[in-house]
Amino acid sequence: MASELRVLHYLNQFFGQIGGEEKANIEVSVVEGPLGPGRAVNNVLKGRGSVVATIICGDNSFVEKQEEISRRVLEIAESYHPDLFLAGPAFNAGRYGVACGALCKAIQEGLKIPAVTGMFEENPGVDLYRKEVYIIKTPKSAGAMLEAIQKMVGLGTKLLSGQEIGTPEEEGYFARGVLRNVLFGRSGAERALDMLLAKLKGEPYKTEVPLPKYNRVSPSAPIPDLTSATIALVTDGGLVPKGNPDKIESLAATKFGIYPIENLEDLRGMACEVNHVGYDSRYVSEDPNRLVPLDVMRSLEKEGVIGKLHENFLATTGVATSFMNCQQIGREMAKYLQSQQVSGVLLSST
Amino acid sequence: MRLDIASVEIRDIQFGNRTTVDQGTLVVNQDELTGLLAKDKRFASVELYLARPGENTRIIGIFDVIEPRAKIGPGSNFPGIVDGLNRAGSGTTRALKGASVVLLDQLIKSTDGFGTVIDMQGDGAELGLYGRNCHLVIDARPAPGISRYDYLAALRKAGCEAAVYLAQPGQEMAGARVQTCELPGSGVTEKPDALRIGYLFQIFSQQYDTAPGEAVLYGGSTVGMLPTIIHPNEILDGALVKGYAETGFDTYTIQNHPMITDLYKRVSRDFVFAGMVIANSSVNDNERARNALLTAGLFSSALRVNGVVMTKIFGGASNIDLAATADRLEELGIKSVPVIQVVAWESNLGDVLLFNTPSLDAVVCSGWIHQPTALAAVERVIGGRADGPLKEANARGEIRIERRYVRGSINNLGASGAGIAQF
Repeated sequence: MASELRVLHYLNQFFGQIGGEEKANIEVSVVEGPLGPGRAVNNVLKGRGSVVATIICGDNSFVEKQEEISRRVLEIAESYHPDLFLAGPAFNAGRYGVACGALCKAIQEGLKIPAVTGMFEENPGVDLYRKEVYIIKTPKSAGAMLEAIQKMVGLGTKLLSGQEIGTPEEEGYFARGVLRNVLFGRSGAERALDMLLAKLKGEPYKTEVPLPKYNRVSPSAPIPDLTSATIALVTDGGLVPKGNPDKIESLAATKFGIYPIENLEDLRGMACEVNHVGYDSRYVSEDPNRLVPLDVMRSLEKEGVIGKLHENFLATTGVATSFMNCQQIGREMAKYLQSQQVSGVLLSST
Repeated sequence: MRLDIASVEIRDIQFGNRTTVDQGTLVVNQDELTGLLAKDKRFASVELYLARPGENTRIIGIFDVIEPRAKIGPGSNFPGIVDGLNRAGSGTTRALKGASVVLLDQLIKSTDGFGTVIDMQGDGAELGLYGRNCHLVIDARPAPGISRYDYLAALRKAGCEAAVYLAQPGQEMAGARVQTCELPGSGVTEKPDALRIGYLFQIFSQQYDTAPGEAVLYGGSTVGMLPTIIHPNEILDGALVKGYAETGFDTYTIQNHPMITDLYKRVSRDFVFAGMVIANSSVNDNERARNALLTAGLFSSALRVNGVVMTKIFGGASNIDLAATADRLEELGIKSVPVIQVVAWESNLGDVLLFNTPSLDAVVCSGWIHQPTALAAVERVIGGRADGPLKEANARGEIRIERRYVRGSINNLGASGAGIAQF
């Protein structure tokens, strides 16, 4: 990186020293050099670089004309040839936080330079942009400005140098939701014994993976009259028509399929295969009724125990499926089944 | 029961006229060893290759890695597989440190890509466990028409036989480092308030296709096995081998068991290695619930522990047995810490654990199995074939595989410093 670092800084109307809420509708303007918190940026950089220009925009203007403003800011930014883009920090100011996040994202994509901002955890900009943008964690109040700027500049210069970025705890940013293998100084076995001893002695310990928090889901009310109900078969055992026409993934599935069984008495009459890497599927391949019990359900249908067996069965692959995708697939299955007046499901899993 | 493991350091490997260790070089009589292994009619052919640290070489399609070891004096080598059934874990065992037998699986399923990989230099060597060892690679081809299970049974036997053959007592015993394993520690009297620690080792599951007579424990299958107590020396000394499926640990890491080794290291007046239980991971609910009860009972009444460390087999499903067991232990006032791996694709660390029982608020993770890992091109590939699913030519260039396929990079027993972080 030759000579001095060129930093471009974005501020809202307030930190840009134009005015308060009454100036929230001002358009984009640019000023040479640093303004307000930008001076702290220069102090932290200590001659390694400086804020070459400060872009200011009103919080309302941004929120109302996001695309247009982002384009304008990108144009201005290009003309300054910056090495690094800093926005805010926005602390708990919501519109400002959204602007900072959106502009960091636009700049890093458009100019291919690092961009860093800072916000308080309740700022809506955090959840919107944390996956794509490095957002330094700040307290609620702007009294913490200097520390926030120090962390933003620190992270920004690290990104520029290509150094490996540390964990969220080390660098002070909101976790972006990327998992990575790391190397600890002690082996997994040593760490396990260390942790067990700490637990037994009442000393502090920190789990390497926290327990998940699941919502409690209230079960539906019982089916009032099974003999008149339409029941559907659903499975996560990965049973699909031969050739897997819907290309459901055999691991970490993102979708499900709907497959006809209308005229079948027995699933051995279906050309099918098991598409699932999580269990020994030999026995299901031999007789798919073991996974999707069509034969037994037909008997129950004939005997009048259930009103009707739905003409399709639903299948997905339940191995290493992400929690979010499980919820999404479940929701979509339920939507389909409701549209078919299905009132109950036999869900078979492996 | 006292076991002395006498280690000889190996820094190089060569073919030569006589199998011996010569000043740190393991010399292998290629014809003699090939002849020994090729006697098994389940093989159509046997070829041997050498791979050394730093070479621009990649080994693919691996079934198992085994440390060369042989009993000195009385004792059975790999009882039930090589020698007759006698208790493992006492006497003296010679180990060649820095050397391994690597078995190739030539009937690997096409869905498994290259299978697992050992790179002898570069990132792959850094990430895996075996890049710094000298390897004797056995490429045994299956006889025509043989079933996969018969072939794997033959491989299992061949690998263990080769491991014993290489480590047969020779002249060089001077300078051997001796690791003594005995419980209670020699000369250690425990204090009344010493902490008693146990280890739960999940050794087998029927989750993936298991074979009748699959050699796992003392040469036999453990299908249907109830949890049982075993002496840790038996585990270190050849009573247990990796089953047929990819368990998350090799026979090598069983022989060099990191948890057992660390437990032995910590033995003092304040720390008692109370013992260990081996158990299956179950594939049905009743069996799982029953095994959890029995395991907790063994730790409580027979081993009288305060806390248990646990390791698991395979991927996701086996977490459930550990959680069920931890709950039963908690009922008896015993705390647990498991070593698990992240098998999810979730990006949020708060969503990946496969249990939420409050008794497991202290968990160690030995890695995320799916991380995409790029390995640079190499000059030489050992393993694979010109045709078939495992095309050797494809493995020569730069490859991108999931982290778990770098052999040893994610070890279920906690062998390396590997762990997980969220960024």
